[in-house]
Amino acid sequence: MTRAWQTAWFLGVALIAALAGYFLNPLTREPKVDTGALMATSLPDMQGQRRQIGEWRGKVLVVNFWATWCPPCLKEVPELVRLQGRLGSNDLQIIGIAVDSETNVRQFAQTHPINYPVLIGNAGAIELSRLAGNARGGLPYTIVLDRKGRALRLFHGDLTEATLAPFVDRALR
Amino acid sequence: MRVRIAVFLSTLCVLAAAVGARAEQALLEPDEAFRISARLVSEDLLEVSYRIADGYYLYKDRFSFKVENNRVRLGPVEFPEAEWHSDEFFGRSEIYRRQVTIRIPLETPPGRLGFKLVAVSQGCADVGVCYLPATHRVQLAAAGRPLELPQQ
Repeated sequence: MTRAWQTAWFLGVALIAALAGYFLNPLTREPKVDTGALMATSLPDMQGQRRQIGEWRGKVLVVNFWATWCPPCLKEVPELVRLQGRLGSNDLQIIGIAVDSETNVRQFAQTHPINYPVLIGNAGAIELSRLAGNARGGLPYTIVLDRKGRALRLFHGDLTEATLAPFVDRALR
Repeated sequence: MRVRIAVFLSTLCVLAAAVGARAEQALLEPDEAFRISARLVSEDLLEVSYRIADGYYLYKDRFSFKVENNRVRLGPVEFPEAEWHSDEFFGRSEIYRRQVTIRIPLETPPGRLGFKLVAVSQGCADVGVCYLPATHRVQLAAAGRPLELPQQ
């Protein structure tokens, strides 16, 4: 193979790799999820006040479906608290939607302070999570939304601050 | 040589991305992960079985059973030996993997019309996902032939 052919091969493969990387990379691949129902949803918070997810439009949102009977959900709460503390002033808003009762959530929050709003959805909130892309109905389920309320990334299973941060940083830019 | 390295690296990238995408899709629906069946072994004994998919488990202390028929009364539930599972919030919990059969004595016989069993269970997947407690209603005929109804 001549040097020119080798160079052409190399550039071709590099181009394919770059395209594959771009389209398959989770940082750039946007999920096809209709967030209309989620943004229109109104649920009571821990103070009993009804809040609509859409009222936070304009911020980068991390909506986290969780429950107190779900150990991986509880494991990620401190990670979300850290992220909210670090980036809250940069227009990040984390919102917890508890697929659980107010009593259980209050009890958990007494020993694990949460610095973002938690909306009480009870068991019915699992259907809302399904509408928002949680096809199998497992928890925890987290969806990152841009300032216009479009889904940027879906996460099934527990998260760490380090896993979530690149997606949030990109959305905040 | 450079071409081979590039091909190798790009293949790795594509495979890694594909594996990541598959992992999300591979999660089972709760009814696929935990399949319930129930049968009357005799006039005074009921058996409830769950077939549990690989990589999934059910918590022993989250089962509950009742009947939708006032005439039938359930006795104390007999669980088989479970295995231990640890997590930082609930500590050590007893769980079942693969398959579990739970025996429930009937303190009053079901009669000719049979009865409806309401079974609640809750489980998780090893990948770090848990499912909402599931309620199943199973119609048990006196002849011992179960008719499974959709989950509620």
